[in-house]
Amino acid sequence: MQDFCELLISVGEGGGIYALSALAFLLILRPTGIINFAVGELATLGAFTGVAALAWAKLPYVIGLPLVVCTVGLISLLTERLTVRPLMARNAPVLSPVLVLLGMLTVYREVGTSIFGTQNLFSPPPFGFGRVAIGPFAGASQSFLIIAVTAVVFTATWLFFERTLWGKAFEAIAINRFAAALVGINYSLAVMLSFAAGGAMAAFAGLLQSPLTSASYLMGFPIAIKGFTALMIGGAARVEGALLGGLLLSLTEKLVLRYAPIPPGFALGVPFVLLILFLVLKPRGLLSEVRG
Amino acid sequence: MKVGSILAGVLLAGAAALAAGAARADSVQVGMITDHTGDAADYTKVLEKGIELALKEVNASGGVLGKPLEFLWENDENKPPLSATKAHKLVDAGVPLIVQLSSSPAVLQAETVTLETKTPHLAPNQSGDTLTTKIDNPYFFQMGPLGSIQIKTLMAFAKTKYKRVALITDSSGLGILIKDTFKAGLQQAGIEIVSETIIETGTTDAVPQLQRMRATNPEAVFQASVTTAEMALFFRGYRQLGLTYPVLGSFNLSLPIYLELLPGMLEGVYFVDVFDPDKPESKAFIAAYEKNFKETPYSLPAYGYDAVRLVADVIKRAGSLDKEKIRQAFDDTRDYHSVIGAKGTTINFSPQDRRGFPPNGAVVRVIENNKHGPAIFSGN
Repeated sequence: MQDFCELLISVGEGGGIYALSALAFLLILRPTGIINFAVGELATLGAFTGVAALAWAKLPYVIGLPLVVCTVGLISLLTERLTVRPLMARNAPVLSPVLVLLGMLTVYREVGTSIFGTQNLFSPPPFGFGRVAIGPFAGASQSFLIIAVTAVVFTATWLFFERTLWGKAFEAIAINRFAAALVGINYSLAVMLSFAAGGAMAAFAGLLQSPLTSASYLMGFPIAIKGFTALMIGGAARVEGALLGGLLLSLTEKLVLRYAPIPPGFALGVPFVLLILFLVLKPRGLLSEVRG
Repeated sequence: MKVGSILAGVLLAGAAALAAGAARADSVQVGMITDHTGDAADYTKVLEKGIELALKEVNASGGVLGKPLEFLWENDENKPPLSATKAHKLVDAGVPLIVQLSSSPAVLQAETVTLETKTPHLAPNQSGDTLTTKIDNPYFFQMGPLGSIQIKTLMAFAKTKYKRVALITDSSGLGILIKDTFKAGLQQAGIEIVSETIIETGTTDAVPQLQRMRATNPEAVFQASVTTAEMALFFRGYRQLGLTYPVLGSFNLSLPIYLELLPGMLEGVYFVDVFDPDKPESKAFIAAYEKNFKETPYSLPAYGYDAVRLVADVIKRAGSLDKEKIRQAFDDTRDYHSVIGAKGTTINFSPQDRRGFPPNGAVVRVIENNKHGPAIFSGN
């Protein structure tokens, strides 16, 4: 029983990272139709700026965390203004910004490595490396922090979209951007803010993961792949889809690693095989189907 | 006026080039292939600190053949196809021997050139077991400790203590290779492997893998990982699950980066190394290194330090920069007192065995107080 409860904490921790990455994709994808594959590198920038703020400048976490999230959000916002916006203004096909953002992926990586180097860097966890046990649920303090932050971020994002006028405006753009513009919604501003929010979510994912694995220029790719997979599972239509997709992906992954009689080295491929089967059966993701 | 200025510039440039040529003639230049931008660059730049220190010492004591010793540097980016090109470039520049710091596959590629051009070639830090056997190159000399020697020592240590062990690694090529080498060594030593686990690149923790391992109830764990992130996940998960089995690791755990990334989490971990801080040669090296760089060295800079001192010794014994005489001097190297290697061991080459590292030169060390502790076992 304790074994399974420990595993559930591991599922929550991994699912939280995947869900935050999926949310980064979703926030940009919904109003713009653009898949930003540089989300993984933005997560890496989150980890690197976290090292600078928390390990080097030794800022307290309550200051360092918002500083890192805002910095990466700003980088993402500037990327939109400088590279995506000019293309959209010229009515470029949607593939053009996707390609530009793929180029930015390389730019982020090169700039990151030229400043922070290629060696893995120590990223301090705010509550140390100790083991925390709440009843039968035991794990690292960082695992509980990831679960808590993911819950807060998703609740806040859900409330924003469901309960605020701004959130409704974003939804309106996602449904029909031309109709939204006709009723006075500022599309350009919404796109800019969606990039900033997407960058901020990626920063959360990178910053929260880095104390577990250390901060490294190589950490972005798996975060992006897992986040995109989670988004495809949950569906790209709703915030809850990103969370559900992240948790389902993590649950499958951990259960396979723990219990499936599969030779070592093959276990991580199983969730992706399941994803392919899943997409064949439910191509629009879980929650899109619910919404109809 | 303008033409005059250009002519003056050309003449000045020519004079500068001649001066540089003269400076080169006043020194002994040896080729050095390293990796400054590839995936081994983080390691070679540490090795190069040992080279810098030894070069300073050699030249302070008169250099070689009455001239200062210098290196002509080439960056092969740790890419085998580039290594051969760089080796050719150095041979064309007229160097009498080449030292190479990049990894074993890159060294093998450069060997094709040093064999063809009959240029002595020293590999001071590589642990590939087949570097002297894949190509029969009488001009090639390997001072780095063979992987098989390191494994034998670790197994000899383990055999005295454990009967049932778990094996864990990451999904990198080198990680799998070390795991397979551990596996063969353990089987040969008659130690039962109760579980084999891989921590895949990109995962966020190692809890499921470690739970699976825990269920097999091993007496100890052999850790063969080489990638930093997965090594971090292993030790975090290990502490998180409250596991207490002894951990035995490869030379990779001699890298200080793990002590920085996982402070306090490696207490009691055993790892195989070729650097014994209690060896007299090591003590002198540590003192000089600390004075020069204000930090404590480990095995990597020692490889570079030994390489330069051996090169100087070989050229002095050869008495000239003739490649054949240098090759002969390498072959005649007996009882060379190196920093690397267990206490009381020395480097020896012969035409029959161009692997200089002593078969009993590896040591097992233990991590204490978040530092690489003393050697507690050597030999095999």
